Amino acid sequence: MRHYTALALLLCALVPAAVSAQETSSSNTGSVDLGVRGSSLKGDAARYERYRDLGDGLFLETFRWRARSDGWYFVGAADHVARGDQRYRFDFAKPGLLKGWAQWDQIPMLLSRTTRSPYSTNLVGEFRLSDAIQTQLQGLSTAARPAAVQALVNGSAMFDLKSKRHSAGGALEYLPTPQSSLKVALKQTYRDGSQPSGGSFGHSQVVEFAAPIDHTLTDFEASAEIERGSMLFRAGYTGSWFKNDVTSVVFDNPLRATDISGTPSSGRLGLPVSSTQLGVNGMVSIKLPRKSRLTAYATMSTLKDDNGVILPMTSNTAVAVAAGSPERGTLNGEAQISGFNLNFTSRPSSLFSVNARLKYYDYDNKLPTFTATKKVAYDGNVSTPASPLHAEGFSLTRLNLDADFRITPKGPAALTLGYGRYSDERTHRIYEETVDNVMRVKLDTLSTGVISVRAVYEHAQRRGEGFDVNALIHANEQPGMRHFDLANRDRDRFTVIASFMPVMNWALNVSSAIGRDDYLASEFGLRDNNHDVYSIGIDGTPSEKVGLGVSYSYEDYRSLQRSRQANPGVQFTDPSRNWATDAADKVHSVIASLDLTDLGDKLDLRMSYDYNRTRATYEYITGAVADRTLPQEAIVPSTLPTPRALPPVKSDLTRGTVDAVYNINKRFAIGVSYGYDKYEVQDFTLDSQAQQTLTAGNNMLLYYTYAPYTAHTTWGRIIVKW
Amino acid sequence: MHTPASEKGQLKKKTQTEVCASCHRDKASKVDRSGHMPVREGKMECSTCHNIHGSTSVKLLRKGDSVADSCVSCHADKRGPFLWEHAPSRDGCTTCHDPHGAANDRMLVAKPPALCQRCHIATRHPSTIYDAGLVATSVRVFARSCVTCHSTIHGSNHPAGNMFVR
Repeated sequence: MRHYTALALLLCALVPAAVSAQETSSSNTGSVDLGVRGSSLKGDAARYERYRDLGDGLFLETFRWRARSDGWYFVGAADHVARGDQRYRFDFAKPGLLKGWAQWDQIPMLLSRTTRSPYSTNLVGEFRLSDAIQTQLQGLSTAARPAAVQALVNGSAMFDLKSKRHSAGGALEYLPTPQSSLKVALKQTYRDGSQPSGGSFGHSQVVEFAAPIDHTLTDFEASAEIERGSMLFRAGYTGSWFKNDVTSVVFDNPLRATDISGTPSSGRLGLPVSSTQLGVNGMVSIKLPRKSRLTAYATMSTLKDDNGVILPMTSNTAVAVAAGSPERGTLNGEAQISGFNLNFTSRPSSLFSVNARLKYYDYDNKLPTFTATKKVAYDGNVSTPASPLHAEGFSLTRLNLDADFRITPKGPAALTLGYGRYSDERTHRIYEETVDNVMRVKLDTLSTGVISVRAVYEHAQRRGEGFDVNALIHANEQPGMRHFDLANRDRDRFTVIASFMPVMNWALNVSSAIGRDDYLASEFGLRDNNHDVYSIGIDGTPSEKVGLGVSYSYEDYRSLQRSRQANPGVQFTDPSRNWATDAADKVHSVIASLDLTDLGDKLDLRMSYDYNRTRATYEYITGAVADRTLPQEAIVPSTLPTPRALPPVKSDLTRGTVDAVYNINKRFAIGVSYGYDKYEVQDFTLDSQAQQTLTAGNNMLLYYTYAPYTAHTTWGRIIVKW
Repeated sequence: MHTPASEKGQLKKKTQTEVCASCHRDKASKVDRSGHMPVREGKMECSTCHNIHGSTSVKLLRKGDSVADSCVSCHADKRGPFLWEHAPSRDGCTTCHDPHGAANDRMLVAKPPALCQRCHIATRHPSTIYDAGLVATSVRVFARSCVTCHSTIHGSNHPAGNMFVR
């Protein structure tokens, strides 16, 4: 009803505007596209809509207005008026003096309409069960509890698991002189709703709940730019304020009514705290002789939490006194972030050019060390770790040097040779420093009118220095494991994009990307990560009234991960317990479109088709893996049971649209659109069929699932232009 | 362009995604995966994150000076500060997420627990083959897998949050 009222008001407002525009000024133009929509949907409505509001009934799809008056330009736009995904925007400009825009936008995120939870949420951030329910479940025998917990979930009402972003923003740019400009931009985004989250009471009992989202992000930017001769200066200020109104969640234990040592009646989870990041930046760019330019950019900002509280040691009242208090009550988190870029570009002759870049980035985490001599895991028992736990923030310094030398002989192609050295220093990780040396060769054909090719080959070697095995040992990890984002790695990548235009208005595009990542010293962890991507497509505009395009691509991603299934003791060093996951993602996709316009000078017909078929497989291999075993790995027969193969994960999306618009005259058109959307999914942990077969035991899940859908949506439209 | 096909930006095709897909076909394909940002719904476009004309950051990103900076410019709840931090989330979100889209929940580059097991091979609870026999019965793999328990995986401000279960 709210939608219809808002739409009716807008329509009433629009009609006189359109008539007025026709009568008074030919410089005012615009259009409105409105009508009635209906859908036939079978399956997961939430996944079909996801970020959209496709509800049945009246719609005002787009409103556009453009005007010019006394050198001023105005553009007004509205999309999906009065719907959950509505957007309004207004732009204005007086060229050479002032321009600006303002926008209001809503982005829904509908995750599920079939989630269930027995928790009541009378207080934000508290997920409660009645004492009677907890007492009843606590009193049941161990054998009787799972059925009772699942009956409790099944008896709960379904609810929508969703959130929405509400974003308002605007910007102004003022040019006091032709050589200078001032810019300001402000944006505030409020997000509310919920998202799936979990809480654990130990290794064998978890609960899920719809964790609340209630935060606001405000961003402000201001900058001034001035040009003086061959120099350009810019100075800027950035401010970002994040305010989270829910910084902890309490969730009841369905199996325990009162706190005792070892088993809490509820658990507590920390959520992100509010924070502020303020910064300044500056840039100087100098035009140099011989078609050269040097640009320096520097930035510095500080990120702090806004008196973020460190939560109490536990929510369990039975052990709270024994647990004591945290070493300090507030987070006192702070990070200094600084960056510096130096770019040099030069084209001293038509035969040669150079582009060199130096980039420095430093994230200096100044979080004061936090030491915990006691811990209450899962809000259960108070324990004293063998050695105190230390929280120390991660810091990171990057220094990247990169240069390309391009040779453009008087021929059909240009050759570029490039080198990059990317050095990363980190604290509290397994390597103190990693250095990636990258060599690349690029070949570009210059415009021949018939063929254009860009090919790039890149070889990179990343090596770590200052390996700290204790970082792994303290985490009970295998000493031979390497985190793949730091691990020694040889990388080869080749990409080619070619376009052939044998006849006017037709193009055949072919591209390929091949990548090989070899983590050559990782006994455990990711061993390799490879991809092969191929695509081919044709675009054509055989006449002014016909445009078409069709493309097909195939993607193949493969990785091997090595592991060892081992408890502490003799198993830890037993190579017979080694295993691997050979993972593969294979994707076929098709994108096609056909536009036929002005058919019989009246009809515009547009059709599109998208198809995406994904198959992911996870194959377990026990023992060594042929051809991919490192020399340091002892090859012995496996003592692990033979794994039962997992079914492939399937995800197929098919979308097609047909859009016909009949132009009655220059001002009015009618149209009909049809959209077909089909999603098929098979996921061994998340699809609805898999979750029906779960032996959920004492675990209280939301039953957030991936479910298929088929949707047919039809729009009947009237388009008014003026 | 004398006859642009787009509503704004004088593009030769109707949307930015179509223009960018001319070369970056694999990225356009990822937008059609089940886990995606609202690009195909028209709420975001390539230039929401990238400035194709140039940038002071990496990957032609508009915001900040790193990949993580860019991501937390919208997902500010992930920027910290945190008492306990998950190191790769400070280093770069793309270690675990593919921002262009993926067939996995939350745009993860692989399905948990396989993703987590790429780095975690610890004892207690040991790195396990979660095969077809365990999928329906192990809380460590079914539903949302590891993050059902390790739900504060980006970072925690709880004194017992060092394993991201609080």
